[in-house]
Amino acid sequence: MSIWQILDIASTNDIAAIKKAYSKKLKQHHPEDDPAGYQRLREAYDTAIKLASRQAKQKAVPELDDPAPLTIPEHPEPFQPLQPIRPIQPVRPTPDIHEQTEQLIEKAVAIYSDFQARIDLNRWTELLNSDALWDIRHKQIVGRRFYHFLQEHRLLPKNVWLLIESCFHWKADLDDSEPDAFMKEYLRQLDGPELRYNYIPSGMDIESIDRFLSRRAAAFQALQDNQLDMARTYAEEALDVFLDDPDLLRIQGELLVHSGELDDALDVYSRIVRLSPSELDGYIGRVRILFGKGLYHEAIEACDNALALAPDHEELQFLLASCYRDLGEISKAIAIFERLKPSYHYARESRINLLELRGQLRTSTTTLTPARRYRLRPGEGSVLFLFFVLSFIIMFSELFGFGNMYQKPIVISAPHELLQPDLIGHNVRVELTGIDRSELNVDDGRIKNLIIPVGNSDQTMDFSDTRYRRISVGYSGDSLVMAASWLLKGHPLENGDHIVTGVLSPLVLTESDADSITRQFGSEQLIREVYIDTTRSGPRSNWFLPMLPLRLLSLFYMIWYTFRFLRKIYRLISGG
Amino acid sequence: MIRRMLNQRTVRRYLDEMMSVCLHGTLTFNALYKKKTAAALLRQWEINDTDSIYRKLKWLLEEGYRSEFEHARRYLSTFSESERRSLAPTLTEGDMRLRKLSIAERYGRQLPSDGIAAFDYAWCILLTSVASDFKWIDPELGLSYAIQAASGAQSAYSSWEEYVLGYSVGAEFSGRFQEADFGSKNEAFLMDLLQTWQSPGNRLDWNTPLRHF
Repeated sequence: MSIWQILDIASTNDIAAIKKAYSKKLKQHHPEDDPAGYQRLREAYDTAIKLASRQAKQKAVPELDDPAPLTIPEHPEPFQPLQPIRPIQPVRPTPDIHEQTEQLIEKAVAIYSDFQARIDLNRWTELLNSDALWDIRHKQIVGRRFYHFLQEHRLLPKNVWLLIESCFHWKADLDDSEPDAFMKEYLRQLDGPELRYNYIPSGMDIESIDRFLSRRAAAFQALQDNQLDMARTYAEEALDVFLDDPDLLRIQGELLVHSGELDDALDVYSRIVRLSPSELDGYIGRVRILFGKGLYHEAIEACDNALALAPDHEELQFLLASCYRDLGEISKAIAIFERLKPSYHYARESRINLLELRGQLRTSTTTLTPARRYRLRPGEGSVLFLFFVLSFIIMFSELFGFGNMYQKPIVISAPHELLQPDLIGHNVRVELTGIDRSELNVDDGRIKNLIIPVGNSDQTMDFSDTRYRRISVGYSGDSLVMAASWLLKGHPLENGDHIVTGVLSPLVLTESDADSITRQFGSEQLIREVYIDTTRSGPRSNWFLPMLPLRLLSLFYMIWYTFRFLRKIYRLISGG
Repeated sequence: MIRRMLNQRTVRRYLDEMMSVCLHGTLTFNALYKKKTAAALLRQWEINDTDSIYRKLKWLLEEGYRSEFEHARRYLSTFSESERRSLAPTLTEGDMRLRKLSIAERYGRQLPSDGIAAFDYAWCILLTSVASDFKWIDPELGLSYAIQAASGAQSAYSSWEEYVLGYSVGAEFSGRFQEADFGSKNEAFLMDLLQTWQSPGNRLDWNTPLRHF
């Protein structure tokens, strides 16, 4: 689209015609209603003016819409040395531009001084379309002056600020440097909330209006900066001047809620509803306070009233659902939360609420929380392991040199006593003791690399360490006999040594075992005593009962620790 | 004595549950108790020595990300309802300030007055716990910090649900995590956590009395 099409005229050098077309089109592309269209129009206009003024100076330049085709001459002229270029003179403002600017500012002051004119966007549009601003060369000068004017006349509606920006582009041209105080204020006016001027009664004198507007603006600014005390002071000062401004009341309500004065805040929001019944702010404020105070029925009523205005309002729906939730009307609450699940604002909280409400309705999972699942602090692992070792020692004390603490041995004087009915058929542990070293004809008193045949396999035991005084072998009566006899006959033992068999797996003494042992050792003069321990059913030692709780504890602990350990291994393997 | 031990255990568990909301992504309880991970975690929070631990904990307790959130929320509260509706789409992602503002706009209304304090408190408890476990700070003092944070959370929120919501918004607001949208995987984790907290075996009263033993 060419600039002429945008301006809806044929291409021309007539600046007056361009201005006329621009004014006509401006009505169609109002800067507030159609900022993009306005921007396009403004650019087209600026370009057209620029072209027209250039063409006025250089009559020979062809029209833009019908440019002469560029042709390369068949016989180019011989090369001519370039003429030295005349240095470009900086554009100096014509003397009357200052005058025009001052006139413009005078007009601006006049508009500002009349409150009804001040809030009339058309007056400002007219002002900013004045001749002083047409000339792109002078625009900067006028802009600078206008900037100073605005520093002292800041109490303008937001749409006027937007118009000023669309005219001067100060925000758009802002570089990375820190903006000055007024620029910050200017940006805040452009991006900040709109403070309406239409509620201010026309009969008020301009000083009161300015006092009200400045206090109200200060209150908003303080609230934006999270300076609540200051915001409250300003808001109260503004309210002293004029009470019925919904914007001011809105932040007053906000401040009252923050300080916990809910009843006063409720009054303020009710006042907003009365002042602007078509707007939602007052209703929402009321619902929030009623809900916060636990007045659910009143809150639901207020919610319904507000939802009649805006049925799709998510916050109101959410508050309604929360009221139902707290009243125990779970199915109603769930229905609304379900509706809000895809919502942009309330998706997360709706899901959390649904989870909670459904959790009340059904039996929940029994999974442990991470805190309970993985709870183990530095050093605790070592302590747990130490306890495991201790439990192991308590449970299997025989392996660690404490002997058979929990059972009382049945003393028999000769092997044939094994054949007594109390022992046959029971788990027994046989200990051969009381062997005199001299009678064994021991040479050096040491046993090295003893190979004891156990069943069908050989078990190698390294007895080079003299600390070993107990030899545990055998899982059956036969191996017991073989091992014991082998040891007794050929290998050195010291006085008081034990040969313990079946420690971990006590054998069940059968008649044949007993016969076998009797046959083997019956004629042995070396045997003084044979002890036979019953394991479970036999008589218990004095340690048995006192140690029982500890042993049970140890047993449970070992089971728990082993389970934990296996779980850890499983997690490591499965990567969970 | 037994009662005291039980109370102590309850408090310990309560603190653990509170900090377990932080265990999203690759962080797990097991990882916390490895010295290397713990040290890396502290470095992520710009903690290099004992002084900076105390400074950070104090900051989390007294100011934290919640003050920034509060600021953003206050700013937005000055807009009217209709303006807020038209404002939301203009707060595009990209610029950090706008991103934070958009999060405050999105969740500011649902959260109680203390906003995202849950995030500050949860991390305060976690950092305290890690630093105490490895004796980087005095464990007694660490516990008192953790209990202070937990009490703060108790007074700021009324239930575990609010706490989790506060945390999830805080995690998104703080921008400390890579996940641009905290809402997918980690949110699923938090939901699981909430669901687990609701199971009878794990139920823990939000208002569990906390005392320094």
